[in-house]
Amino acid sequence: MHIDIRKLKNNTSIEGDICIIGAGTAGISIALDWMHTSQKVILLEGGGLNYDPQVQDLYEGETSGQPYFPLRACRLHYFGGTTGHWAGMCAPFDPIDFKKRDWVPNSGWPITLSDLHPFYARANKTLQLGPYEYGFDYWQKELSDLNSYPLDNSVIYNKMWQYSTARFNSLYKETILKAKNIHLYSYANVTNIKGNEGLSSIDEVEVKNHSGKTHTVKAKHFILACGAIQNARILLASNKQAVRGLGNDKDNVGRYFMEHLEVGSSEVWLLEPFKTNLYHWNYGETKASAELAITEEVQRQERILNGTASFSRLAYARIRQPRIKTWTNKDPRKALESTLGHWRESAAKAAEITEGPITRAFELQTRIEQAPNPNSRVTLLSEKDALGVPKPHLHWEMTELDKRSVRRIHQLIAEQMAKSGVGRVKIHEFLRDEEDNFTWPEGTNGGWHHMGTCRMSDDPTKGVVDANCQVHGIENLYVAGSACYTTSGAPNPTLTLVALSLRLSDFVKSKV
Amino acid sequence: MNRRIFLSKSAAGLVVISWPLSACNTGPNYDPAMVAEPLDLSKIWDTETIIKIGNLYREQYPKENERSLVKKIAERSPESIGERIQEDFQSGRTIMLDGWTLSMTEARQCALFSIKESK
Repeated sequence: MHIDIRKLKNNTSIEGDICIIGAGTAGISIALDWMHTSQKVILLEGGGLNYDPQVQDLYEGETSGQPYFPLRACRLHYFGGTTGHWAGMCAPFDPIDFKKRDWVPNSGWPITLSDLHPFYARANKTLQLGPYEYGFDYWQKELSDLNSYPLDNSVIYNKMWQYSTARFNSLYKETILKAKNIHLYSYANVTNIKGNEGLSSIDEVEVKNHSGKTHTVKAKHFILACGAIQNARILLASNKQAVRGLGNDKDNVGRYFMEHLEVGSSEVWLLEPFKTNLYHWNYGETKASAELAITEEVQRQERILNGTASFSRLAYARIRQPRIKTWTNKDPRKALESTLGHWRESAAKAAEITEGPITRAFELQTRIEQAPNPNSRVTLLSEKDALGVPKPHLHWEMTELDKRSVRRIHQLIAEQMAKSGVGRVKIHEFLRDEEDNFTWPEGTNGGWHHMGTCRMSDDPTKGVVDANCQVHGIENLYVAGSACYTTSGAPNPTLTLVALSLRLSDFVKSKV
Repeated sequence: MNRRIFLSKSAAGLVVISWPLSACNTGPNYDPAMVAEPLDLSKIWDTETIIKIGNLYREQYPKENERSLVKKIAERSPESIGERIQEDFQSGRTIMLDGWTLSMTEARQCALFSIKESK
């Protein structure tokens, strides 16, 4: 059922068994998992069932360090969350992403890829993907013309993605509204989390909205599922009982903010035409495609981060502006429209080029994990939003390992493309000086992938949540989603965050 | 740019890089124009780019001249240049010029071509 909390009397107290804070990808995935149980689930969504600019304003904040998108425009604050405008790219993490790597400071999850396998399979269904198959051999048999460049696959392999068109707002709204045990409260922004005297458990959360009313929600278990920036913000802002904020005794909340660096890095020019559908995808049409990835063995030898390279027609890439320059409007709808419009115009101009070697040339764009950096972080501003919650400040900062890894990935691709006789690679200028591992070009994008601000660790001095996503020291408070990531992996985070959320859901069920 | 165009542009310069056979110590089927033609690169580059890359190579290796370049490029025979380029990549005998990862042999071909075009 759905209740617009603005219509309730002031100081209403709501009670349930489980309280899920946030009805985006993680929150809805968990709520769906609790349908048809005997538990009363309170699902709190700060926005409405559709876009509301006044609520979207609550995501305003500031950024510093590496240029970033406006915080108001890179997440959607209504039922369904940022699936409202995501591209749908899904791939699981790799085994190495969970391992301790001595060349990657602060790496090493307390869980392994195997721990997530059953949940990845379930996440595939939640996201309406195909079978839980992400091997190149499988898809080459299933689809036509997935011809692979003949590269040495002990160095470079084809990492596969599937594509979801799931918009959780339209896809799951009716399901959630009709679920008897799921009580969705819209316009319910959590502004404070209150614990017991020793802060060993949470008693209730305070909820506000622009109507000026305040309500409380009590439950046996509370799951924070608002995205990495907002999760950290809420924990830091809940500082009436703990000066540093909840779960933050060791000053880890908000730290280790990670994005995926997404940046055009090199050009590959094919010596001969090569017919393949493997490395391209179209939204709503493509079932699976690949990006070039570096094997675990080579990552170890080279001591580099995990990243992939995707192909974009060079004629198009030379015209198209990077997203960091087109996604500048604080209104996410206008930012999206402006970016998509620019892409369409660029594609139309590029389509006029039909002759010459450039027709078989591509820009290789990197997507790479960011080395966990405690100085890359979310903190609170002194300025507050309309509900009295301090606004967030994001400081995005890279390390030398990030750039060195991008460079080395493209050097490896250049070597392999030449060895195989496929083509020649020209590395972009910003990567050529091997002594410069800190300067990034203006076109360096993030992927709108927010990770790591409530990182997972068995050691409470090094993380915010434990292996079960439970906040250290607080028995009934959990964080869902990519905020828990210890490292950020190579692929887009959504499939993994749904898998991790479903694993958390099972854990909470075991405690109920 | 295809091979035929490349050769016709090079024809005027043939006499410039046609050394006496004894001086180059090459075989009886030697075609100097072939030595200075980076076959693979000519599939993706125009002559301006080949010259630019050739000049960059020559800046890095100023002591190499026409004679030494021809000798290094056609070390075994002109017909084996393609093999040599592949061997370069397999063994890591590569060079980066203007961001391009190239075989040393093909970079030298560009250098030789740039010398010809500068005369």
